[in-house]
Amino acid sequence: MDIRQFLIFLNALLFALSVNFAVASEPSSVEKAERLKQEIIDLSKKLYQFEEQLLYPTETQLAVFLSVANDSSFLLDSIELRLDRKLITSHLYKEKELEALKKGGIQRLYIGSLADGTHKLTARFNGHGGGSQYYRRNKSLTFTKDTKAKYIQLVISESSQGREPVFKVKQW
Amino acid sequence: MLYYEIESGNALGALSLMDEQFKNENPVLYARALQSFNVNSEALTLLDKIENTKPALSERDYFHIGALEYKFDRCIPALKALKKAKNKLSQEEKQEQAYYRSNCFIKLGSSPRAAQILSKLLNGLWISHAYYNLAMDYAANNKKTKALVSLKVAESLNAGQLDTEKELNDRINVTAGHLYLNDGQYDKAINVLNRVYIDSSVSAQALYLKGVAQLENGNFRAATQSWSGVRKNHLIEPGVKESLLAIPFAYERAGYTSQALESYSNARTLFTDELTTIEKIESLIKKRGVIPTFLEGGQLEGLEWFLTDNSAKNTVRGAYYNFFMGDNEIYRHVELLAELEVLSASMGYWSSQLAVFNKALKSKQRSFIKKSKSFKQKVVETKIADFEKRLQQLSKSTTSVTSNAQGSEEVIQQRMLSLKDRLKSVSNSIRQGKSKISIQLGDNKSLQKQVGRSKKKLKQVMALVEKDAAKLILEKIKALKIELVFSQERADQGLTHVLETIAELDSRKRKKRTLKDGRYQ
Repeated sequence: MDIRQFLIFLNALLFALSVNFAVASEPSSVEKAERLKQEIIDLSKKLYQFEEQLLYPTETQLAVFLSVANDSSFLLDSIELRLDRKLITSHLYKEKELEALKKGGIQRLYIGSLADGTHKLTARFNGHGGGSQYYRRNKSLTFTKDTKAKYIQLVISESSQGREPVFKVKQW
Repeated sequence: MLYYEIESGNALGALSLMDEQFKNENPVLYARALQSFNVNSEALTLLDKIENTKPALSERDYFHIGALEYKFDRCIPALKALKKAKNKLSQEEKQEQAYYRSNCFIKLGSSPRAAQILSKLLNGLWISHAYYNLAMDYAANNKKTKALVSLKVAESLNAGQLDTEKELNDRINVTAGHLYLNDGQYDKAINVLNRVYIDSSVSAQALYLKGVAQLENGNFRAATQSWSGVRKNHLIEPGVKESLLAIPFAYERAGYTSQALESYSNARTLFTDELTTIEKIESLIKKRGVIPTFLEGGQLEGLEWFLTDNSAKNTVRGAYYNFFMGDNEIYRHVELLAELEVLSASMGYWSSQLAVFNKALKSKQRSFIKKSKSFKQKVVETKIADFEKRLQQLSKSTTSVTSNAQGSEEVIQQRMLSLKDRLKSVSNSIRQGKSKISIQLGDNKSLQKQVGRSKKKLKQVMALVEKDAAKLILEKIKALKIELVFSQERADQGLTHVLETIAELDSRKRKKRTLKDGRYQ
């Protein structure tokens, strides 16, 4: 037996470690699957629209969004939303989601139905600011719901003096 | 919102929310979402359309187009697009851009151009990977020195803290070890191979190469020790079979024939046992399919051996899963099966939701009919008309009109108007509400049928994809069997050789004994 032969064998093996650039021809089951995926995407769109119209008609709709300014160094761990002191949603953030927010994405945090009248929305932000300091901050907004859809945006930015996070709530 | 969904990895969510206007105004984002969800033919068509229609795009859009073209293996369009994204990218995006550009040039046969791109004072994991790929290209073209330099740069740019970074460093060191070994620089080979983590996916290869370098250096004991270290790895991992055959070879070369015999015999037994395991897996796949064998959770009845740990790291199932997933085509099919499984679960969810909506809408319809029947519109209209008459009479009959009285009249009149409006609104709601609920019930029914059809189609397509995946896996198993049979034969040859050597030695000893007293017996 020749050790060199083993080395030649391993040569072939090791070059499989490199980036594989080859693209094989498309088999038919994959094509069929792609076409079906497209159909299901179209169906999912109809389903989401139907659900929204049914459960959250425009007259009673409340939607809450979150955005983060790109100069903010605040690392959001989690967020909790309370409406009239009742917890309506909470979210624990993964790295990809934080990156998406940092790149300018806007997250729809909550969508629901709400009766007309005066209500209070409280957002609790948990996370780390610049300098690894831990923050837990509440921000509230009292608003009036009428017969139109209500949209509220939570914004995390940074103060111009120091690296303190700033939390704002605004209505559209 | 759609940008968030795409960037956070929820391509299906993003695609479900996009309307035609958004798709037309944001073709690059739409293409990215399609590619993320592996609807590749549609994404490719869209990229061609963007190329032909040339809409106004930002530098970041060109960067994303370049990345998509690269992922679709279309290097020339990728390079064209990436060239247009120069300044307005983040540091990490610039590294990613350099990675795609350099890899494209390597593919197009221009490694000097690739090296030029990477030399522009960039760092980070993307560049480290790019240098590694450049090194592999140099090595494939027998440019060992350049390959080793590129590997050194790749390692220096890699922080080596995260698991992915450590994995890359291990591969860099194995490749460098291989190159040094081929070049006869055994000490350097051993030095770099010693840096590979023991729990790395390439540890068996590193141990094998290290053993070879140690043997070439004349250190037989260290070599056999290195090769013995692969016993904790699964037999199908690269480097394990080779090490198991190298041990007896080294013993034989060093003159330890009984140890060589024993090692060849052990190796042969392991190869034979593994062939039995492979045959069991083959019959499992033929009997049950790919999904229950490899993807579904839970115990497989009567197949506890498949899930038992037989090494420090892996179950048999885990080891074979990793082995098969190393093949690009198999990986694509398994990924597709996982995606279709998610869609199937989604359709299952919608099926229950629509059933709940159907019940709720029917109940709403019944309650609406009941309440609208009990609402007497004529009675309310008559009462309002009566109030209006009385108000008019009151205003005529009052002789001394005080400001207070006038004020009260106005308030009452306003309330009358408001009542009329509300009555009108309630009448409209009653008229429209019934038909609105009927339309919603109709839509619900139609969606239920569509979901039912999709579920059926999903089942059929998943069966087709699973069949193709099984075919590919069985071909891979066939190739693996051939490898193991070959290794088994090498072990047999080794055994035969050792036995022949022993027989020859015996025969020489006997000849010496017979010559001793000067007479032939």
